[in-house]
Order: sequence, then structure tokens, then C-alpha cells
Amino acid sequence: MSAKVIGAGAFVVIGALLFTAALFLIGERRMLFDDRFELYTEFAKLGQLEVGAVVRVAGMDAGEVTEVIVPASPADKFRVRMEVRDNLHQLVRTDSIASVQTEGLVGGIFLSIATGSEGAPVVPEKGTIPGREPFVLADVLEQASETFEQVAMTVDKISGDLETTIARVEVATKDAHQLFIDITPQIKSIAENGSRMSADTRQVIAGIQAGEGTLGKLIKDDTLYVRAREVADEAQVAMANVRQVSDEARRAIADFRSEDGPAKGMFAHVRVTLGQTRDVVANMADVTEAMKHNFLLRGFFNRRGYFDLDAISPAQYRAGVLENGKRKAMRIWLGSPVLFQTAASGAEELTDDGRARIDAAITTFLEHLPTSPLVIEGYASDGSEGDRYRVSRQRAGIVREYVLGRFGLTANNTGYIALAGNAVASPSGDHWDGVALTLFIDLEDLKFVPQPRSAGVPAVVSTKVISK
Amino acid sequence: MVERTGLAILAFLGWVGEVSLFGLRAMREAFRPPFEFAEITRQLYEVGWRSAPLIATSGFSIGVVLSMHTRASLERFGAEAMIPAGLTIALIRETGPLVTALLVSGRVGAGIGAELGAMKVTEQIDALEAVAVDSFKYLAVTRIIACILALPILTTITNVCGILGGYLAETSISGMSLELYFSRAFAVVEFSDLIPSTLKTMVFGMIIGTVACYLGFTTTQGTEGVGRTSTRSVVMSSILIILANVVLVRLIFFLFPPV
Amino acid sequence: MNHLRQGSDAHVDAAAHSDGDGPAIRLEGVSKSFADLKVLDDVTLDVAQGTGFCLLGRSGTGKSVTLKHIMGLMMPDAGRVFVHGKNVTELKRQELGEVRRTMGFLFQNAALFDSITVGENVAFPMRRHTDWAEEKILDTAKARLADVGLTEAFDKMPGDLSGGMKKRAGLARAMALDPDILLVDEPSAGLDPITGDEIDELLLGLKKKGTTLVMVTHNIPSARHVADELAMLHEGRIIAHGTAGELDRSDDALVRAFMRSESGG
Ligand SMILES: Nc1ncnc2c1ncn2[C@@H]1O[C@H](COP(=O)(O)OP(=O)(O)OP(=O)(O)O)[C@@H](O)[C@H]1O
Ligand SMILES: [Mg+2]
Repeated sequence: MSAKVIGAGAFVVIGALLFTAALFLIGERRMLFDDRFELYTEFAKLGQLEVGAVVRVAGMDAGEVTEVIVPASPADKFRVRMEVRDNLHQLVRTDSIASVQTEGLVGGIFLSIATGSEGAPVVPEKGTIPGREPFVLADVLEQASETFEQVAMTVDKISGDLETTIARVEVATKDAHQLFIDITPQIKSIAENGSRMSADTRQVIAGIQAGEGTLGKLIKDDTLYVRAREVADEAQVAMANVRQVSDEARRAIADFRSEDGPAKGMFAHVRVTLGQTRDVVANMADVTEAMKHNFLLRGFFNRRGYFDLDAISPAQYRAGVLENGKRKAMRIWLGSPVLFQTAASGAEELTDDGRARIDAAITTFLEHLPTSPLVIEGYASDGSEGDRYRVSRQRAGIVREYVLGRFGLTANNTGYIALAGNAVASPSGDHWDGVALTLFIDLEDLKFVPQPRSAGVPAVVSTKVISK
Repeated sequence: MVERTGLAILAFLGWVGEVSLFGLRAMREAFRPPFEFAEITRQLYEVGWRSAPLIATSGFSIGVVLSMHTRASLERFGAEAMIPAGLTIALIRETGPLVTALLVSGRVGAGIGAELGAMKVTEQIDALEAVAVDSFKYLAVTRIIACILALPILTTITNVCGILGGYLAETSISGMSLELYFSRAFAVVEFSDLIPSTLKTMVFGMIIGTVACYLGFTTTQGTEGVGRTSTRSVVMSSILIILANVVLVRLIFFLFPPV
Repeated sequence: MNHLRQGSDAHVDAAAHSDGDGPAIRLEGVSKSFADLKVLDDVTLDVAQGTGFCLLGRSGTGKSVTLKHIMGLMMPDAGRVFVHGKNVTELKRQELGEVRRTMGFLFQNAALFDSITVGENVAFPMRRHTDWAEEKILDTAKARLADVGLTEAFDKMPGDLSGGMKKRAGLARAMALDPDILLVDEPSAGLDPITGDEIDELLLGLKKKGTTLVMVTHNIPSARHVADELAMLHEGRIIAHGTAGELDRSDDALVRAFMRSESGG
């Protein structure tokens, strides 16, 4: 009997001890048993930061976020209140910067506080430190892509300037000669940097595509973030260089005009280098663009409004891949007899009447256009399956070209797809001959009441027949 | 067919009603003297201490297996660092309590059912009454209390052994240190994860004890009846545990909304 | 515990009924059915204090059921059961417990607690109802086991005993608290004749000390020896009631046949 009493006692005591130990582990992590001080930071974008998120000072677990105060107006920022261990207080200075960070793709979101500088005063209790906005991959790519475009334009401009100048200037001074010797290496280095950057970016994309290291791994390793950011930063530096070079070149050109002509060979050399630079930078812009359209990242960018119809099959498209819970398709059907006529060459071209119809249709979309993607669906119901596909693709292409030119729409947001003859729920039943202008629109943006969706078609919100 | 299903449902409800009344009576009696402390201790030994090896071993293996599964799924997202936390949360919130309850219902529920059933058919329960002992208090109340007390403790043992098992599985692959493992394991666990889900197992204990005692006390038809009681005790308490768990999880989410 | 009472010797009939205390046990119109089976049908009987009463009857007629009614282990469908003048069927749990404390019950199958030793079985009632020192409890338990000739079985588990040994251990447990009323269900079934006789002597001794004895047995010589009064149960009713001599001379052929048998079945 007594052995049983001891057993029962041991059981209860061991259980209670283990449970208490677990409670302590949680409590310790939450720093319930430490002295803490309170401080604030501010962000325009929260980046999924939540109450209860861990706060780290210089990488050390230091406390937690206790409150997120929603701003009163869009112009204000979110205020984040946190509690941090008192013994780390002297590390947090007024110039310490708070930033939201992630441990890997699905890792916890935490608030990181960098230690401040020696000279700055310690943050007072309930003080506010500056916050660095959360870093978002898409933004960086966007920025990189823009920068590259600017670089490319600048390079174009320089070479354009040079071309015209070379045409005009006949002689070169010794100074001018020297100037070109100075400029050339800089241009060369831009070209070199540029090709390295685009190689880097391409390598990242190749990595993703080869499936070597999954998307998660890449993002977890921060490779994509870091590389993309580096590329963007380097591009910015390159851009500054190019500007400087272009100014110097312009000055030189001005000099040329007034002085004796330079050596023609020198100009030729510079022209070649600039040409290379332009190619490289254009290449980089392409690669960054490609990154946005990469298969694995597509879901990520789709949410942000990018589409690559080349990567979507007609079957997927019909199944509604471009739609999500909120975003629905809205179609305007236009028939081929009104839209097209056969040109002398045998190819189809838009009729005047057709253009007017398209204009009228697009007008109803205009309100939503730059923000909602537009897809021109091509249909053709005559001939073989191959013919129908070809014709429907041509039609969609023609209409897209027209729409792009006429309304100056962004090419990025205006796609076209060949759907051959099958058109479920078109005004003529299960087929269509012509095109459908399809706007993918967030229901929230929609002013009118959605109609019940018809079976088989990617959620037609409103079907409006302009012409048959 | 419909009628028969309806009757079966009614029969089940009636049965649950009887068991509930039995349990309620046990709760009422538990607070009335005399208190059978010695017998509760003995039962705590039987239900708790003697189940501990089974529970510890199972907890450990579950930890190893869960760790391998979490690794397989989290690796895909490059979130290996989340393995300890994922495993701990899964274990503490749901797997630990439920697995413990089901194991105990198998070991202890069957045991109590068979023991009381045998006592019933061999008239030992009558014999207790004949020596002026309240058999309900002495046999049922003590066992139900022991189950209620033992389950949170056994669950804690499952959880701890599970985390240790997870650690061994993890360290054998990644060589992670025990300290780092534990700090990661508890990185996302809140009091509201641990306390309600551990305490809810008291309800499971109550179910196991009550069902087994009820079936034991109502055993008829000799040895065959004892076998049936033992089986039914496991089946019925498992079903009731799983059903109760749905309600309890809902209730816990209601009381401690997840952030 | 054990009250010595007058008139515990012979000539019981008159003595018991003239006793001012009234009968130790009285069943009044007790009926009991299990499902469709009517086991007891309006059974009325008295057992005077300090006497030996023997209930006879063929197998399955409800003798054990009758004993369980006296103990309050079964409740009658109709009728009342008095023990020491208290209506067992209406008592609260606690009062019932008090009444039971003055009674000992030997179950037909002994019903030993099989998770504890034989010695602990005998000690169990003492542990529950006395504040005796451990030593006294163990000594008393040993003495009780010695009474039934089982000294050596003290540390054995019930599962390791033979049927007859279990029976005797059960009797030792029933006698543990020196009950005023001892109900024994076939005490000598499964015993050899010599041990059976020893048990009879033991019961007689208890009766002499004033214990009221209610015995169920198929062993007619033993019944003649121990009991002052006998009753025979048949098809739910008492068909004969009286001394052994009266039953020998019964009008009922079944009763006479029963009384002629020499040993239990
Ligand atoms: N708990 C019970 N449930 C259902 N029937 C019962 C119960 N107890 C006894 N019976 C029935 O009551 C009848 C009388 O049983 P009891 O045990 O009293 O017989 P008995 O006279 O003691 O026979 P035996 O001499 O064989 O011991 C039997 O038919 C038995 O089946
Ligand atoms: Mg019997």
C-alpha cells in the first residue's frame, strides 16, 4: 500500500513540476518576470505586424508588441507600442530604427530594433523611435525596373547626343581627347556593372525556375530580397554615374563645337561602348520584368495586379485563374461583322464602325481602367480548329493594338488571349465570332449590383451586348 | 430505416443521459464526507503512475513522428526554424490532450470497466454494501476523481515527452542544441495555448471515469458481460471524448480567441 | 457490539415471540420479480433474536434473493423488511449503513474482494468501521481466520483459494465485526463433511453467544443441528414453517421428501 502512495505522490509531484516548468518557459519568453519599459515606433505599412509579436533589440529577444494603434487618417502612421526588457534600455537610443522582419517565408513576424549610436541619448520611457517601412520584394523589383528604364533612356539620350554631335563636329582638341579618355572607362564600368547585375538577376530567376531551392528557400535565405535590393541600389549608382558622364559628355560636345574637331576614331569607340551599355541596361529591365512574370512568383504578383497571359493556357483562362474571390470578369461582346473587314492583303482589319464600337465599349470601362486589368478575348467560329485559333488570336491582337494606341493604356495591364470558337454564355450561346473586351474588376470597385453568375463562364458579372 | 436510425439516436441520447446523471451524482457525492482519500490515492497510482510509462513512450514516439511530419511540410517553405514551435503548438493544443485521453480510455477505461464489471458479476459490489460501505462512493467516485486528476498530469507528460522526442528527431538531423530547441519550441506558445487545453483534459478524465464506472456498475450476464463492458467502455468514452473535444475547442476559442 | 440476550437456548419458539424487543428480522408480504419471473410472492416471516433460522428450498426458488432483501441489497417490489424493528426498505443510505454494520453476510459465492489478500478481506470491515489499532485489526482478522481453519491463508490472494476455502474466508469476513445478525448462504456447500461439521459448531457457538442466525442450506442434517426453526420456500411462497420436527410431519410430500434427504445438493 505505501509503495502505491509513494507512486501516486511521485506522479502528482512530477506532473506538477513539468507543468510549472512549461509555464515558466512561456513566462520567461514573455518576460513576465522582468522589468520592462515601454516605447513606441511608427509605420505607414504594418507588414503583418501583430500584437504579441516578439521584439528583438540587436537580435536579442527583448519583449513584445503590446498594442497597434490605428491611425486616424490615411496621412498618419500606425503607432506600435511595445514593451522591452529594462536591461536593454541603454542600447535603445533616439536614433535606433525599428523595422518589421520575417524569419523565413512562413516564419514569425518580429519587430527588430537596431542599437542606436553612441552619441545619441537613450530613448525615454514611452518615447518614440523611427520605424523603417517594411521591405516588400515587389516594390524593390518595381523600383529596379523603373531605374533600369531610366538608365536605358539616359544612355540612349547620351548616345543620341553623341551621334548628332559627331555628325556636326569635325575636329578635336587635345583637351577633348583627354576628356573622352576619362569618360570611356566610366561608361565601360557602367556596362560591366550592368551586365553583372542582369546576370545576377537572371541567375536568381534561373534558380527559381530550375526548382533548385524552392521559392520558400530563396525567400528564406533572403537571396531574392538581397540580390534584388543590391541590383536596385547598384542601378541607382549606375544611373548617377551615367548622369555625370552625360553631363561631362555634353560639356565636351559643347567644347567640340567651339574648338577643333576630335579624332573620329575616338567618337566611334565611345559610340560602341554606349551601345553596349544601352543593350545591357535594356537587358536588365527585361530580366526584372521577367521576374515579375516568373511562374512561381506569379501568384505573388497577381495579387499586386500583374498578369502574364503568355503563361496562361486558354483552358486555365476559361477556368477563371485570373479571378479570385473579389475580382470578377466583366465582358462586352463585339461581333466580327461589324468590327472587321478583309483588307486587300487578305488579312482582317478594323472597320471605322468597329473602331467606334470599341471606343464606346472602352468608354464604359474607362472609370476602372488603369487599376483593373483588361483582357481582349479573341473568338472565331469558322474553319478548322487551327484556323479558328489563328484568326481569334489575330483579332484579339488587332483590337489590343488599337486600344493601346487609342487610349494610351499600359501594355502591362492590357492582355489578349485567343479562345478560338468556344464561348460559353456569349450572346449567341456557346460560340462567338469576334472579340470580348473583358475587364477584371474588384467587386468592391463596382458600383452596380452583380448579376447571378452563369454556369461555365468565369463569373460574368455583367454581360452587355454592344453588337452582334 | 429512418425510424430505426431515429430509435438508435434516441437510445444513444438516453444512454448519454443516464451516464450524465451518474456523473453528476458522482460529482455531488465527491463533496460529501466521508472522503475516500486512501482509495483515491490508490486509484491515482493505478490510473496515473501505472499509465505513465505507456503515456511517456507514446508521447515520445508521437513527438518523433510529428517532428518528421512538420519537417517534411515546413522544409518546403524553408521554415525549418519553425519545426520546434510547430510541433509544440500542435502537441500542446490538440495532439497531446487528445492522444492522452484516447490512450487512457484504452488502458484505464477498459481496466476500470472490466474491474468493476467483474466485481459486479461476482457480487463484490454487493459485498462492499454488505459491509456497510457505500460502493458508489468507494468505487465510482474515487476512480472518477482519480481520472480527473490524472489526465492533466498525463497530458503534461505526453507533451514533455513529445517535445523531447521532437528534439531528438530534430537534433539527429540538424544537430540543434537542447537550449535552442526549447527556446524555439516555446517561442510562440502562449499561456492560453497551454492552460485551457491541459485543463480541458479533466473533462476527458471525467468522461473516461464516468463511462467506465457506469458500465461496470451496470454489467450483467457474467464473464461475457465483463468483456462487453470493457470494450464498450473504450468505444463509448472514445466517442464521447472526441465529441466533447469539438465542443471544448469551440469553447476555448470563444473564451481565449486566437490572436 | 454483541448483546447477550436471554432465551438463547432451546424452547426458542415461545421465548423469541414473547421477547419484548420483537423479532430481529421480519419480512412482511415481500414480493419480488425479475422481469417476468416472480421470485418472491407475498413472503412473510419472522426470525426471533438469538435464534437460528434456516431457509430451505429447491435451487432457484429465491433463497439467496430473500437474504439479500434482509441485507437491503435488493428492494422488494411490494412489502416491507424489518431489521431490529427498522424498515430497511425506507432507510436513508447512512441509516442503512448503520443497520448493515450490525449484520454479517456470507455470499453464496463468498464474494471475496479479489484485489486484496484474504487477511485484508477479513480486516476490511474493521478498517472501515472501527478505530482499532493496526495490530488489533490484524490480530482479530487472524483469529477469525483461525475460527474457520484458514490460518495459513492470511497472505494468500482470494484467487489462489479453493471453493471451500473461499467460503470459509467469506464467513470469517462476515463475522469480522461480531455481528448481531449473521446471514449465511450455504456455508457448508463445497466443504468436506468434517469441515462442514466444524463450521456448524462455529455457527452454533455464535448462536449461543446471542447472534441471530439466518442460514440457507441444502444440508438437512446441518439445518437440523443449527436451526431452531426452518421454513421452506417453493414457487415464491413459504409452504412450510416450524421446527424440524414439525416439518418432518408436514402434510406436504415435497417438504417431507426434502427433510428426509441426508446431505446437501
Ligand atoms: N439480479 C438478478 N436478476 C435477475 N434474476 C435474478 C437475480 N437474482 C436472482 N435472480 C433469479 O431469481 C431466482 C432465484 O434466485 P436465487 O439466487 O435466490 O436462487 P436460490 O434459491 O438461492 O438458488 P440456489 O439454491 O441455486 O442458490 C433465480 O431464477 C434467478 O435467476
Ligand atoms: Mg442461492
